[in-house]
Amino acid sequence: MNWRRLKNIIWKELLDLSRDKRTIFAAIIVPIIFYPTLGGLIGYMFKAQPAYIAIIDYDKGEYSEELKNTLLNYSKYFGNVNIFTNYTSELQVLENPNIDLTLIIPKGFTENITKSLNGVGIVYIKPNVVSSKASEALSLVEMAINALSNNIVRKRIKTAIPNVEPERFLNPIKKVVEYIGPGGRAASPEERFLFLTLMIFILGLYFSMHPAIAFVTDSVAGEKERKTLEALLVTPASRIEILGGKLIASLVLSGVAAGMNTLGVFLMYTFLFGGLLGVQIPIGGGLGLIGIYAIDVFLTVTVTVSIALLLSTVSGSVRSAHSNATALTTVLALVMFASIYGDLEKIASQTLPLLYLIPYTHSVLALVTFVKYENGFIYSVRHLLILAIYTLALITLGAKLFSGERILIAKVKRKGRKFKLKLFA
Amino acid sequence: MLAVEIKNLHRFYGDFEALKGITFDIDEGEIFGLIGPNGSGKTTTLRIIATILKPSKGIVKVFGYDVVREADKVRELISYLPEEADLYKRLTGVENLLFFAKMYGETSDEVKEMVKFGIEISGLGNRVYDKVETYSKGMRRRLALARTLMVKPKLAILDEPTSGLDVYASVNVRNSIKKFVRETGSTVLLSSHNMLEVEYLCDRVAFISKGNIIAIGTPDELKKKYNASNLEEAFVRAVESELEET
Repeated sequence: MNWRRLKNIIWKELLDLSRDKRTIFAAIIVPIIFYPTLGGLIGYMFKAQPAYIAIIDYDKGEYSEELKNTLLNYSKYFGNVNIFTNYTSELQVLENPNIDLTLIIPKGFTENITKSLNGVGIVYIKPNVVSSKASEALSLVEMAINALSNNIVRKRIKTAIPNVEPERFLNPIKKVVEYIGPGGRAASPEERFLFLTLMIFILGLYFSMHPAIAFVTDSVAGEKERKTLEALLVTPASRIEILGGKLIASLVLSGVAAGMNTLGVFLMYTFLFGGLLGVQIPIGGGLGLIGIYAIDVFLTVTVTVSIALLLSTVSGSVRSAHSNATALTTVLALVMFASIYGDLEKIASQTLPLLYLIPYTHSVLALVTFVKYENGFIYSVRHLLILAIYTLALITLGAKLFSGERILIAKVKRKGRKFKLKLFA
Repeated sequence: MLAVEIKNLHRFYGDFEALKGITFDIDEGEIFGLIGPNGSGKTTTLRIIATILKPSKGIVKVFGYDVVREADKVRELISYLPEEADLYKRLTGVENLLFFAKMYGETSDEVKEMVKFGIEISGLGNRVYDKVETYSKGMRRRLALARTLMVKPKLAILDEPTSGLDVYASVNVRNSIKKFVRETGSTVLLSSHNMLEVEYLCDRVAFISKGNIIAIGTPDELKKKYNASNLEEAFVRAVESELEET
């Protein structure tokens, strides 16, 4: 290995790739702008958009008034909710398509409740199926109804069995919830959001992969397509030096892009949940998890680069190399999405061991096992090592394929004699 | 010493035999031309000498080094201009030269000297500091030639060096090659369709057709052998007589 030549190739690749403004913009600048904007926009839209609840009170009794007042009180603490009490019929409500939910209190509601201890009052709740705020409105209405129900039950208890404490009568079981971490230790408040943190990190892994594909396909297949590779292969630089230089340069830019993507995804969720719930996402797992995540991103990007490299050496153009590599890595990365909805480790170890053959399974498990087990670091390192082994194997294979002969005639073999003759000219 | 030594060279692509046992030598300091129609095996021959393709059978040596077993040593001595070679368009002309100079030069002085020589050969003047994507086709070809010759290889392999260039640009390129050989004493192996170019530049010429060398000699010898007034005529007669024999 001649380090001077390797350094020269890295310099050329970084200079060449960094001047590809479109790729740099798409891979590095867009994530840091687009993802947070998307998160902020969704959060803002959700928060800024009010929920409209219409109440039609045919009863006009004591309890229908109490229900309306409870709703109005709760709505002050429930975000952006408008309650309309001026409607007198359902037909009137139908004229306003912006109403997300209609609450109808029929005549006799109060009377039915008060006439005996067994009396039941009925209300009709009609959420609008095309409304994105209907479920929020429904939650509010149900909370108000529950509060009113509790109030009525307390009164009934006092009347029927005056020596009983209504609260204890209503809640004979006291719940004590204590969140625990690996090994049974008490979890910190931040760790209660570990699932959310992991989800964001796994999505960050997924988004980190794609810039790597763009850089490596441009570097290898692009050189072939732009007809600069042949002259390069005849220089004194060895195949390993050429390939190594390209890999290192692609990894440097991919690393920057991965960092930007991760930050972008984190900001997206911060703004999204800030907008939706008004809360900030704490990073559970601390610096240890962040460290493991950084190594995991690096190795996941490296594996992706290796896969893209293999496909680039046998593809005739940047477009085909890029689309083949994107298609393959996206299919393999389905495990990442699956892991958001289920425990990938349970599935892989108990029902589907084939998942272990997919490198990205180990990208996910390196994070999951770190937070799941008491000695999670050991399990995590095991998965990171498997990723490293995958990378080495793929790069070795790529280096073997990266021969002048194979690169030059790969296209010919696939496309037949017509192209053969062109090559022989 | 022989710059290139080729004995019984065969090359197959699947069932298709592109080279059918060609044999020829090139002396050190010579400008040698390989002439043939499309699909005759010129580029395959040059690629094998340049260590990109491997021979199916036969021996190819460059300054005594075997192109298969000692490819690394061969690549230290040669420089290659492929027919469809292009440059790194997002880099400037001088950055392109610098990149290739660093592949060959051991010290920074050597590299500077190569780049200086490259700028001179290219004849691009101050445009050499502009990005290659702003160059015309002729300028790109001149820079590609400069990149190939500036490292002063012992053997320069030039595949259709004036391919696709207009008359003026072609004359510039031919003059650069002639000047380069005069100044460095390097050996040049070139392929071309342009008989005038070959006659002007080459000390010796080989006619290649359908993977066979059908004639070899100085331009004057070939013209005399085929009773032709120019090399173009000689080439046509050589191909026709080959066809008659087969």
